[in-house]
Amino acid sequence: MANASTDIFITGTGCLLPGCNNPADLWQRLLEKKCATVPYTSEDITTQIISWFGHISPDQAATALAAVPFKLRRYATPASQWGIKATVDALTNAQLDLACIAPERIGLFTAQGDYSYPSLPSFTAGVGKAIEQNNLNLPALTNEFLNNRGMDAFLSIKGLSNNSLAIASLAFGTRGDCGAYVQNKSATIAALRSAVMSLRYGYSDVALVICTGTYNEALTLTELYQQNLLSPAKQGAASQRPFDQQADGSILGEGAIALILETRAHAQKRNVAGLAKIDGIGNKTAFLTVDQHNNYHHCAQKLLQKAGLELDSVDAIVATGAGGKKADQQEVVQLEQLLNGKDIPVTCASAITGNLPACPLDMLTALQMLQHQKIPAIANLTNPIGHQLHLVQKESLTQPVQRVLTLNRCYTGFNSAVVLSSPSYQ
Amino acid sequence: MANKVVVTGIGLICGQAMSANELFERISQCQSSVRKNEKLAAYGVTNSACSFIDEQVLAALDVQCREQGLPQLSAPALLAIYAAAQAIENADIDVKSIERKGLFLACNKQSLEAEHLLGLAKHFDPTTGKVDLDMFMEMQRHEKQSYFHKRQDMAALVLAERYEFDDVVMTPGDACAAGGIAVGTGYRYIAQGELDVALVGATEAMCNYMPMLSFSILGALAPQSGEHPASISCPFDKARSGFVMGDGSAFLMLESEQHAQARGAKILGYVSGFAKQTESWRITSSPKDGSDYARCMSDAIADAGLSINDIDHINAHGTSTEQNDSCESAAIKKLFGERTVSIPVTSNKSAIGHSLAASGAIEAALSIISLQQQLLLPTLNFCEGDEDTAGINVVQQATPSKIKHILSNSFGFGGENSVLILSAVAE
Repeated sequence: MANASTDIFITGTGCLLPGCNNPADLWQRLLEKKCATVPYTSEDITTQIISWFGHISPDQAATALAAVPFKLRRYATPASQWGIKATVDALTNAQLDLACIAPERIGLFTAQGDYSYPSLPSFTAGVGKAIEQNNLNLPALTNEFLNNRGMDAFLSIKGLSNNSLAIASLAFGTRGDCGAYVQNKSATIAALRSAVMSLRYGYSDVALVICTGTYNEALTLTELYQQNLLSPAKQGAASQRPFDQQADGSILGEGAIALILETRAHAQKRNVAGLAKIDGIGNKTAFLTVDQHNNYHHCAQKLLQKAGLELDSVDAIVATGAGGKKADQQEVVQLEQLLNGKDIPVTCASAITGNLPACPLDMLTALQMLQHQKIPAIANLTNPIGHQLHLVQKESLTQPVQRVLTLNRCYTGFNSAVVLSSPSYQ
Repeated sequence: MANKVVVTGIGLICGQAMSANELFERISQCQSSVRKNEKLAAYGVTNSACSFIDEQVLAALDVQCREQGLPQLSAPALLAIYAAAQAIENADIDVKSIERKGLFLACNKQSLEAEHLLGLAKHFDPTTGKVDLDMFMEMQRHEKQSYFHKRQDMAALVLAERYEFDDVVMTPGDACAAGGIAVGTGYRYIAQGELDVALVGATEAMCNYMPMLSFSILGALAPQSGEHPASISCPFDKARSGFVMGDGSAFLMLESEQHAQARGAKILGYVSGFAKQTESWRITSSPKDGSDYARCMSDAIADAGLSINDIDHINAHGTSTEQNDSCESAAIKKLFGERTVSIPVTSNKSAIGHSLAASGAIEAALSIISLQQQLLLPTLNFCEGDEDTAGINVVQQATPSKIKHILSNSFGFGGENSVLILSAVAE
């Protein structure tokens, strides 16, 4: 059993994100402020209103599918397939051969931000038939679904919250500690917490954390649009403008990020330096008071306090920057309250990929910053809304980056904070 | 482990029961909550019998929540808010005043509803295979209760804010194992000294169109050809042919023994062991020899510092599917060997249906009451086992018994298992 104070390291990362096949691609785009969002396309939906999106391209999807063992493909949602591809790459990045570890000692923790099952495409055969017969009503649809193969026979498997976990456990042969979580950043934080707990108390030797999801589903797009959260995207990829006075809403996206976690001792035993140490994880919920201006910075303050860290020890912040005028103004106010005049550079990556459900884009960005000792400028930011904040603008900053605070604020008031530092940083 | 973990409060809503004691009483009297769901039957769902919660009950809970200033919430969230408040009241605890606390609330993804499917279908063009989303958005302009609005973690978000769970908040979605995992994860946090108090539980409302269809297509739901609804689910019986769906929510208030004693709380029982793990076998089935179920059971017993000889009763997963009950029987025989015939086994699912995520939490709540009352609950509808389940000592009527430790199984689709060990307060 490991000591409770054991440091937990991230030793590998992989991703499949809009325009990015790996973390290096994301870093390059961040440095170049090159957005990867594209005109919205769908095999299932016709729309002019939803005009721009951070898509996983058909080529990327094909690569991901190829990473999934053949016999599992019919059970795996596209998001689960992306997660497998990201994990394969993360294991390579961590120089970790899972065959060298007892399957019972490999922990698996997944975060699905997946709204896409069940949805209309699962039922198109039956719906089409009912329309053809001019008989579109529920009893007729039920008959098509139950008796005429009118729906996806594996819907119950694809629709479950642990689809990613089930597919990954079979693909990687894991038989150890586990946890499956769904719903945006709350799922990501829960998966991370579970992995850290599992390693810290010796339930696992290695933990795979797989975060994956998409907003590309008719009812989800509808509700976010009707809540006035989406940008009309009149300026294409330049339309998601985090912390900018001209911000007019979010561009949504999809993708997967995988992290490999180990204890310091386990990583050292393998002669792996690790990419970062997890100093702490925190969250605070403000579902009913989402517009109040204190939860986000209280979340960060409490985490720093709990982890025994001073804000002065943080070299940079990766913030959310959802791109909505009101949301970003609120975030800026809370960042200003948190920093209270301290000159800590703030960046964010959301303009590159669009807002992604469940994917810890902020953490992946922080890992790159620790590796490259640079803080990328915020893409599409020309007229900042917060003059007291050091929002990194125009050019990347080259400076020592030993510790990064990542902050996230979901549409429904779930605030989270994660602190990452260089493996050798004390 | 740093701490013993005690149960100090229970809250529950399930089928037609509004509390854990009421449900326990109903099952002990062999009353089933499984009924024909007329709304689903009208939609053409052939196996429409399930243990659903009445729409009037949900409407009343909705009114209560609105009066408390909450927005419109989905059925699982309404059930969770009711059951969690009951558990907190039962524990007589001021949750807000506690610093080191966590919330563990299992719930699976909520489904597209029949009306939404129909709404989208009206804008579907079979020639292109696409839905006209812009037209749908225009038509649904005033629809407030859409898919995104039914987030899986909505109940957790509400409870976290209401009771000021400012740090550890988790919403496990591990299919049928999720409820057990929520209870066990909270137990683990307290046992390891990370938290003093954990509100643990689960909620599910799957007795609606889409889950019933999708599980029916998969062949997991029992076919229903004229049988009385209450007789359809028969765990471990030779006539078993699938599960019936259930709605419900249950919560336990967990505390470190030290914390509970310091505030003079009444201790109802202990969570003393837990294991969760993946099988990596097949996505819809487990090894027929029961080896993976047995591994999880064995690990939970070891986590509790017990031996198999200490287990007095098994609250089985017992779904009434041919495959699960065969595998679970094999696992019990593999693990307990000659003791198998002497260990009483109960499945609650023939009385209350299978409420997926919620089932593990509901069964943990019923197990704690079994320990308190020293009474084994019957497995409704069990008459005779088959070749695989023969030799399993299935409890057929409420039976007083000396019970110190109960093993409670929850096995999930996708090969994800969890097992809890629940223990009685020492005499």
